[in-house]
Amino acid sequence: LISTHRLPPDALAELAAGHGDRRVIAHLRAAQHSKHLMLLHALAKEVAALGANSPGTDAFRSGYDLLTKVQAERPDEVVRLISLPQVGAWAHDCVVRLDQGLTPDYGYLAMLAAAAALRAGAGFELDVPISEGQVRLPGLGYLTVETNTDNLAARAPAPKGEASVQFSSNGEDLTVGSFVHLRCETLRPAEVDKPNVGNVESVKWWRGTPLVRTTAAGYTWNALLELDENHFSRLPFPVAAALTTEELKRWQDRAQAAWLVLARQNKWPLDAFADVVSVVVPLAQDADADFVSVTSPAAFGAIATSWPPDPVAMAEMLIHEFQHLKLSALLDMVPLVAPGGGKSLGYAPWRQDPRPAGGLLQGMYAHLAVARFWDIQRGLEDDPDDLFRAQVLYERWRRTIESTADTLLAMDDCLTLEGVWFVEKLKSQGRMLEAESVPPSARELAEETALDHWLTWQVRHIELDPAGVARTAVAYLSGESSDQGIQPPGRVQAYIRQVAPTARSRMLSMRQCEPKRFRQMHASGESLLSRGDGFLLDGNACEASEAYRQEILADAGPLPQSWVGLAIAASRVAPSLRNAFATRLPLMFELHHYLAERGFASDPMDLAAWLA
Amino acid sequence: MDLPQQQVSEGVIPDLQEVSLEKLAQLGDSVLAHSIALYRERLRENGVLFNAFNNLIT
Repeated sequence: LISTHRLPPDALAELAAGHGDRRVIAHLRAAQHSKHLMLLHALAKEVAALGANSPGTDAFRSGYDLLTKVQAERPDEVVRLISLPQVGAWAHDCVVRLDQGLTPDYGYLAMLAAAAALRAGAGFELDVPISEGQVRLPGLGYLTVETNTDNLAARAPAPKGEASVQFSSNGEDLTVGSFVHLRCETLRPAEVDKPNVGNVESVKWWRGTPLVRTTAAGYTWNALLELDENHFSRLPFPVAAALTTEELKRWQDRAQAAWLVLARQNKWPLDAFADVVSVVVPLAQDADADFVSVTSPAAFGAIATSWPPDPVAMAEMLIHEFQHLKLSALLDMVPLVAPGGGKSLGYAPWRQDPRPAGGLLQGMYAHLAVARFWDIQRGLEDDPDDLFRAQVLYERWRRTIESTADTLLAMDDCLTLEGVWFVEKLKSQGRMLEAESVPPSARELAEETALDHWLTWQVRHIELDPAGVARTAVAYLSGESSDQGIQPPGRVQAYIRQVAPTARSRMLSMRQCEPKRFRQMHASGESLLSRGDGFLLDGNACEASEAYRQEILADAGPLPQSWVGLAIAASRVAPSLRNAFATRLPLMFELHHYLAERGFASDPMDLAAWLA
Repeated sequence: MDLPQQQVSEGVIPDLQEVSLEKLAQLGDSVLAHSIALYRERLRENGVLFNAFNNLIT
């Protein structure tokens, strides 16, 4: 009888507090290893059920047989290989393709088996698929092969017209096809800090996957920089193009510096982190999203990230994404979100889009650690700008834990019994992050940035019943009081209104994340701010409020971002209107638009006062 | 709310740590079928959700 993975109560309690040392994380790693085996079993059954053979299924069967043999000699190597995040990504890809009626990449298992055999020093013979001129060996690198014999200087020769090439090894030497002989031990990742290991300069036709090594306070973290793994291509951002030697060195240095930041904080279980995170996928730089990072529950142990702007930002990102990896693994073991919990959507203070319960839980879990990160960092920074950033970001994310917990708990039937307990526990952890020590200037910026995000989100995603808006308009024109009864309730409907990101929102975020860069851009006038935005960012809320009001009155069309700006500025100069702007902005916007279409020019401030 | 002493909801992932690949291949359909079906159903329902973060969220 096979049981399912279950967490001991104390391990679950540790994770619910946002923590988890190496002992706790070992439970998650074991379950992820089993998950990969379960999916492998599912694929093996699919292959067995197929009547006809194909090159892919043949490669799968041969690969499975070879892995079985390697496991008999070196079980540790097979555990290591099966646990790789790219194996999870591949297995999930295969299952998704099967569900879509498409043929999975069965042949990948032969590449995995060849990589395992080479690492284990096992003798073997295996036909390994060629893909786009490469024979990929997951976790190691790839051989460039060429079936055109005129071009053999750059690539190893392979049988002409074949989709695979035979690997033959006695455990020490590898023969590729009939011509190429390589030492197995040289087919290694390319260590970025050791220029002569695992690269084309040391082994002809071989491109070792770049490997960065970091060490601090006795903890070492090794991570492969994966640029060529097809099964990471489902990520929502494009993977970076090939990195130059200089760029690889920069990644090595940045990772080392970030590791030092984490070691200096002396809080994080760096050994557990190093056990889990074995792959970093560098993402292409996106001008609209200066610094993005991603994890997937399908790839436990992989973090995809664009170039981190500085070591502290990278350290924060690593902690943030490590939390996602932990929670994804926990969710495989303990269902916290109820079946069907993906239907309802709620506000996530860190995302532009409305999120399902699982997304809210993930974000809350990550930001609890992020707030803790900045809490420690603000005690370590000497530079005034860096200290200000730490103060603002601590305050910004500290406040989101409790509010998001309340959002989740209010979403009907979205959580399991354990899920409710888990969210309550996180909420109590969020309450422990104290607010008194944050300087007023940092608190104001955190509040303003959070308000801008919340208001923009509401205008984008809160749908109002048109008949209700019409009734409210009639009441307004009739001079009736605006009691709650006549105001239509809102419901979350993703992107009911298109609101483009503004220079104001971007500059507010930049002001908290990168104060120096903010000052440079603001001073240079390159930021394309509206007049109202300019006043707001200069701290002149009175002028800003009037400028936004004039923008709205002067333009016949809807100006959602001017309304958001007005709400931020007016909240400062007219505290009595703050609540109305914070909770009824979509209604003000719709009312104004409804009245304008019927020839009534309503004053935004008058509408706000009526709804207050 | 007290910490549950016993996990109430059913776990999805079978414990295969001690199962060799050879034994795994010999396992009948029924042994892991329930876990695989549950997991695939969840994938179909939710897809593979990414946790994506953009530091300049606008």
